[in-house]
Order: sequence, then structure tokens, then C-alpha cells
Amino acid sequence: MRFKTTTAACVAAALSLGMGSSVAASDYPTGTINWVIPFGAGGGSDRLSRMFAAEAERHFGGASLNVENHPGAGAVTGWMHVLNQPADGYTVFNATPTPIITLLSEEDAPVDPSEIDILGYLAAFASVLVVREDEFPDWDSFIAALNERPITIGGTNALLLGAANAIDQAGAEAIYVPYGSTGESVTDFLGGHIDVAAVTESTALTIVPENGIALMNTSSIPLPESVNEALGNPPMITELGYSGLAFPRWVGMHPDTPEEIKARFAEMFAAAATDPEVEAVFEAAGEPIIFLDREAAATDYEAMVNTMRNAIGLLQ
Amino acid sequence: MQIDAFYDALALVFTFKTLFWLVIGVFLGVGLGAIPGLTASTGIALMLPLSFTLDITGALGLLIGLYKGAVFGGSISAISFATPGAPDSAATVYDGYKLTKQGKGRKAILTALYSSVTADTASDIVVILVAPSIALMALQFGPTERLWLMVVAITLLGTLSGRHLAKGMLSAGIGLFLGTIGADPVSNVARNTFGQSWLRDGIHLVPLVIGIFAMSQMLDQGLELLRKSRKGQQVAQSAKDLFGSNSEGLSFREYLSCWREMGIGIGVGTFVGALPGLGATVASFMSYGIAKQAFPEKKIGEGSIHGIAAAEAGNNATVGPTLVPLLAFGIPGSATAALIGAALILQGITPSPRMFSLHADVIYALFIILILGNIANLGIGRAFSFLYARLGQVPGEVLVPIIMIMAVIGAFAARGDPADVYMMLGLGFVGFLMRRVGIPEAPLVITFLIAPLLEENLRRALLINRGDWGGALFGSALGIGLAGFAVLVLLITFKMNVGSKLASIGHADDKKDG
Amino acid sequence: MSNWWRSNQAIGLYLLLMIGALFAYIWWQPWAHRVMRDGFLLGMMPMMGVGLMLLCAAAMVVDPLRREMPETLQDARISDAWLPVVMLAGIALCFWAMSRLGFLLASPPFLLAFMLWFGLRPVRLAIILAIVVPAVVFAFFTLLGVRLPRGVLAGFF
Repeated sequence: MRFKTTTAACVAAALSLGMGSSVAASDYPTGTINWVIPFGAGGGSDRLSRMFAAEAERHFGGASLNVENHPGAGAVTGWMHVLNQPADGYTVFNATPTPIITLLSEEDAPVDPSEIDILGYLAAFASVLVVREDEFPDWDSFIAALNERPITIGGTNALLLGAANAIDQAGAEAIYVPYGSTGESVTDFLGGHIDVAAVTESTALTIVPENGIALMNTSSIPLPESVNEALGNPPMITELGYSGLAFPRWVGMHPDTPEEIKARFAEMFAAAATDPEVEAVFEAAGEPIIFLDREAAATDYEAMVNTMRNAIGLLQ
Repeated sequence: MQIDAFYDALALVFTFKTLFWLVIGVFLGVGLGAIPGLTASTGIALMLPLSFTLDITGALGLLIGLYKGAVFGGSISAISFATPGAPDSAATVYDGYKLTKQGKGRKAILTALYSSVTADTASDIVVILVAPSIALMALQFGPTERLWLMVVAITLLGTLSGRHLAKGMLSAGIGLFLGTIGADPVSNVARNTFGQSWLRDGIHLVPLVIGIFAMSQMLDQGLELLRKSRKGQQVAQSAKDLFGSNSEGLSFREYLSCWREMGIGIGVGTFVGALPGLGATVASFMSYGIAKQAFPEKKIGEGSIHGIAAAEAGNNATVGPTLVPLLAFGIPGSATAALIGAALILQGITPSPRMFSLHADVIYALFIILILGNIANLGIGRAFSFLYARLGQVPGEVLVPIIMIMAVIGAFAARGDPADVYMMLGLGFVGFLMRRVGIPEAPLVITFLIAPLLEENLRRALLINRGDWGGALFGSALGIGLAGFAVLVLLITFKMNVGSKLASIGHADDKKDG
Repeated sequence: MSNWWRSNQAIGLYLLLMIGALFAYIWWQPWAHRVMRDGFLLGMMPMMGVGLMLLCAAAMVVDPLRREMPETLQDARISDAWLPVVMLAGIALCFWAMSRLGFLLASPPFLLAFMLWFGLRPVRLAIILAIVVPAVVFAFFTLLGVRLPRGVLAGFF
């Protein structure tokens, strides 16, 4: 009999947990919001998501944030998981461009990158082109050199997309050398095996000024003031009238989620991401928050997908 | 000038708090490392939040202690249960588990411990003395040079193939094939995925090693148990030893007799560790292969402490050098180094070339912790070795199902992808079949690891040299030198092994015919 | 020659057939012949792997060790093939149950069944171990900060 009561309690507990997700939109949110990331535990995205969940929970109307890892299939498994959950605002998807790149590289992708509603950006890293000053003192000389001789640009796949997008618009061509990790590409840059390194701003900070200069910021979103200054205020590709490509840590929801819930979430998310205390923690972790609200993020996201679609063709 | 910083560092390190967290780190590391699937980088990722709450030396003590402990810890379960705790201990299984079966588990674990600590300390000293020079040397290694280094690793396959070369190479072929599943390294397009999107990320090393080494072994043992129980035989015999007399330890003379293997491990590990993207698994297999090649009379692979010494010295010698690119250039050379870098950033210290001048005291403190960590590893490792050597003698009826469960948790915990568990089980069956028909596992793991790196570097070299093979392969003096070395290794293998192999084959053939 | 089917030659032949089929499968996939921007075929490395396997299987059919029988196959029976499959199915079922019921509910029945199957007696010992071991493992992992699947017991932790 003892066993039966326990089972009943288990079932009751399970039911009560499940019920949290089926209450009316007006009560949103109560209980637990599942914060899905398409990467395994221990990586950079996981670390930042857990940090955000811990620091920003108080802004989510009493609901708790539970980080869930759904890695696999080039970060598309997590996306599929989100689409398979009820569209009730209790499953949030926090990803990077990785799944988008996967989807755009596939011939018959299981979902389209538009099958998510973007509710904000938490950060947006840039692909910064780092070069040796004596070789390419500025962008114009760089483009001139590109037209004269083959020049190698190394970086991880995503960052090369940013570089390819910028150089393609300048009407030039380069040799894009893909690397599995930033460590390898930067080592090869420092060793003189490649001419240019496409790196994120935080990696650029470790190379500039001793071993190179930041030639161009290929992002669509400006860097934080302090970072920009430390990199010697590199020009932005958008200043040339070209389109830039940012690599956001974006937050989205199932497209069928009721508008009321999406608006409420976007509001809470904005409050959390602009909270000075939260900002300070991210600053200290070396990953400052670059917040974009729902509207700005959705606009940038759409442009990013279109730009990437083109840039991926250049790298295949 | 810097001497003040050194004194500051001493004052920072020799506090109760720092030493306490160092010991906790090593303790957790050995424990975590011994659990299949939980590797050093998983362990550090788990402890990172805790490290935020500590001061800089406490955090470094915890993380570096954990790292050192975990790399050694992997060998404990490799020796006790033929289940490598981490991929870098896979090479230890061969000799280690054979010794356990001979009732010499404790001797094997102690060999692993002493060679790990010796190699770790030696490579740490090298790092402290010549970190900048190693870093500069590593910079010379571009795609062309790395490509040849991979070729050198591949030439060791012949050594690891066992008696029947065709079977060894078949195993290498399987590894090569499995390694190509996933995204093409240049275009990022899915290949060889059989139309399954979950295979797009490729097969992960941890489930592969757990499946091929641990699960296949457990299936074999399960089968053995089923036969025994059906025959009604009594198997309580091993339980008698469980709390019985002390098993054999390791004498100082035996330890000293491994100096050559440890030397190989230190050399290979220090160098491989300093290069980004290779890691401890490559180092341990290379060191094991070279030792096996160089000293055929020591019967490495048949239950020899020398094999354990080579493999374990090789993987632990990468620990200190992994930090070299991080310290010299601020670039993490591995996932573990990236996590230690993250901890430094959170403490307000950005790893970069400026670190030596801006935070000399922290750098020195790091160096002191690297050395102290080895002492802690020695003490804690000894305690664990005693416990685990006993656990290894738990009767199979109990142990086999428990290890099966642990293998499942390990395969799942590494990435949290359920597909990894099913993959591990499938590879377990493949490993079981391979074992049955006498196909060795080591070449599979080597090519699985090396072939993708070889391909990546070759294609990078070709891209950089605009498709010119001559330039891509022989574009630098260092590249040509390494190519020559690869040829030399191949020639030696041929001369030393094939001669004796052919003789034995001919002999076997005669016997069968006659 | 009654034992020919266990010899290296026979094994080589089985493998040759299987790997040959795999090679044909890959060869006829459209992706295998797609040319990448660096001029490499997408299917080059996979085909090299299968090619190497094919070559080695062929070598096993003709090399000097062809008549030898692997030691481990000398007393092999048919049950050697299906018993491991049953074991793996049991483990897979346990993992499947783990993701639904949680680690603490799914592993004791598995451990009990397998310990008894492998011949552990007395039954009482098996029951105790099957309950104590998962609890200890769960406690240890929780202590280390690894979240094992909690399943229906999630409400209690």
C-alpha cells in the first residue's frame, strides 16, 4: 500500500508540474520556463545561458528559468524540440547562428530559419578581420591587394561568413580557409601561415595591438564603446554602405505562441537584459550584453538570414 | 624585478584556502576521471560556477587540480574494468586490464599513477622554464607541418595492428570511415550521414571509446558469465580475493625500469600538448605506439607495466603544455584550456601576451600550483588506487551490469544527446564482433581521431597553396623534415616487424598445411 | 573443412560482401560526387575509408593467415551472436525508461534482472544491490553537479 501512495504522489507531482504550462495567457508566467539551448553542457553558450538564468530570473514574474540542453544535428535538434513543445511561452529557444548555418547548408532542411519568432538579442558578436599592419595598413590597401594576388583568410565557419559577405560586396575574392576552432586559426595567423584572421572581438583583443591590427568590423551591430576603443576603433563595414553580418545570441519562441505571451516575454526579457546588475556580471565574464529589443532583433534576424544564404554559397 | 612577483605568488599559494581547494580539485578530478564519459573538460565545466566564488589562486587550484586528477583518474577504470574513464586512457586498457586479470591490478594502477605524476611534473618544469620557446615552436606548425605530424601518427598503425596486418588495417579503415561521418571540414556540407540528420555532428569520441572499449568488453564478459552459470560452475573464487591478502604493489626498481617509456611519454606529450587541436588522446596513443615500436622485447600489449607507463606518461604530460598557447598568446589550445581561460577572465585577468608583465604574480602562482598539483595527485591517487584495485575484484555478476549502466550514463553525460547512447550501444556490438574475429580496436580509434585532422590540415594546406600539392606538402623545411621522419618510422617498422612477422606467418602456414 | 566458415578466409569473404554493399551504396549517392570549392569530392574520404576496408577484407581472403581460425571463434556458438543483442536491447530499454521514469526508477529493475540473469545468488543480495547501487550513484552524481534524468520523481528533488 505504501508503494501505491508513493506512486500516486509521483503522478500528482508530475501532473501539477505539467499543468503549469497549460494555464491561461493572462497568468503568464508561472512555474518554470524552459530555456532551451541547442548545445551541450560545458560550452560557451551553456555557460552564458546558465549565467543569464541565474542572474535574470527575478525579472520573469516569479517563474523560474530552467536551462535545458538539446544538442545535436548541427544545433537543429534543439530547434525541432522547441517546435514540438506546446506554443504556450514556457519553452524559449536561445541559440546562435550555428543552427541557421546548418539549415542553410542543407539541401532539404527539416525547418526553415523563419520558423521561430525572434524576441530579442542578448549579445551579438562580430567577425573582426585582423591583419599585420605592415602588410595591410587599411581597408583600401587590403582590397587593392586582394585584386592583385590571392590572400588567405582563416577562421571558424561562421566568422568566415562575415568576412566573405564583406569582401564579396567590395567586389573582391579571397581564399577562405576554414578552421575547427579559433585556437588553431589564430595560431596559424601568428605563425604567418595565413594572411588574415577572422575572429570575434574578444579574441581580437588578445591579438591587438601586439601582433596585429583590427582592419574591419564586418558586423551590422556596433561593438561596445570600450571594446571598440581597445581595438583601435576599427571601421565598420556598414560605414561603406555595405550590409554587415552580426552573430547574435538570439532568443525566440514557437511561432504559434499567442501574441500576448510573446509581448509579455519580450518585455520581461528586455528588463532583465538591461538590468545594470545583470550587465555588470556579463561584463565581468568578458561577454558584455549587447541587447536588441524585439523589433530591432527581428529586423536584423531577417536580414542576417538573407545575407547568410548568399555568403554560404561563397563558402561551399 | 620578477623576484618580487615570485614571492607574492608564494604568499598567494601557500594559504590554507588555496591548498584546500587544490586538494579538493584533485580529489574530484580523480573521482570524475574514473567515471566513463566524465572527462577533464566536463569536470572543469561543472566546477566553473564554484570557482567564481573563490579567489584567483583558489580557483586555479581547484581547476588545475581537477584537470590533473581527471587525466590520471581515467586510467583507474581502464585498468580495473577495461573501461577507459576518458578517451585518453584507452591505450592503457591493453596492458592494464591484462594485469588486473592476472591479479596485479594494484601494480598496474600504481604504475599509471607514478608515470602520470612523473611525466606531469617533468612537462610542467619544461613549461615553466621554456614556455615562450615552446610557444614559438608551436607557431612554426602550420597546416603543412601538422599534416605531417598526423602522418607520423598514422605510421604507428602498423605497430598497433597486432599479428595480422590485414585485420589491423581493416580496423583502421573502419575508423577512417566513421571519422568522415558528419560535416565536410571545408564546405560544412553534411556527408556520409545516411540521410540521418542526427549524424550531422559526426560521431562523438566519448561514446565511440565507451562503446568500442567498455561495452564490447562487458558483452564479452556477460556472455562468459551466462555460460558459466549455465554450466553450474562456481565463480565465487574471485570474491574470495576481494578482502583477502594484499595484491602485489610496485617496486622502485620496476618504476625505474620504465624510464624510457616515461621519457617517450614526456617528449611526445609535452609537444603534442602545446599544439592546439590535438590533445591527450593523440599523445597517449602516439607515445604507446612509439614505445611498443621501440622496445619489442618488453612485450607491450600483453600485460606489461611498460605499456601503461608509456600511455599514461603521454597523456598526463599534455596537462601543463596545453596551457602554453593560452599563457603565451591568450589562445586556448583545447576545450580545457578554454575553460581555465574563462576562469581567469572571470577573475579579471584576460589571458594575453600582456599577462606576463601585468599579472606576473598570478603566472607564478599558476606555475607553483601546477607543481603542487602533482604532489596532491600522488597522495590522493594512491588512496584511490587501493579502493579501485579492490573494486576491480568485485564478482562479474555484480560488476558487469553496473558498468553497463555507467557506460549509458557516461555516453549521455558527455553531451546530453540521447542519440549518443544508442550510438554507443551500436558501436559496442561492432566492437564485440571485432573482438570475436580478432580485429584490434586501437587502429580504429587512431584513424577515427587522426584521419579527420589529417584531412582538415591537408585541405587547408592545399587552400593556402592554391591547390599546389608540392607547396602544400613540402612548402617548408620543417615539413620536409617531418616527412623524412615519417618515412624513417615506416622503414623501421618494416625492417623490425615485417621480417619477424613474415617468419612467424610462414611458420604458421607451414603448420596448417602440414 | 567443416570449420571453414570460422576461418579468416571465410570472415574475409563475409566482410567483402558487406563492405562491397556499403561501397555500392555510397557510390550511388548523389552527394558522394558533389565537387566542393577546393576541388575535393564530398564522398572522397568516406570512399577511401570503405576502399581501405574492402582492400583489407580481400587481403584476408588470400593472405598467408587465411586458413587460421581466430582463437575467440573456436568454440563460438550461435547464441554468441544473439545473446549480446538481447543484452544491448535490455540496456537500450533501460535508457529509454530512464528518460521517462528517471534514473532512480529505471535502473533497479535493470540491475536486478541482469544480475540474476548473470547468475548472482542469493536473490536477496541482488535485490539489495539493485536498490543501493543506483541510490549511491545518484547521490554521487548529484554531489558532483551532474543532473541524471529525474523523470516522474522530479517533483521531489
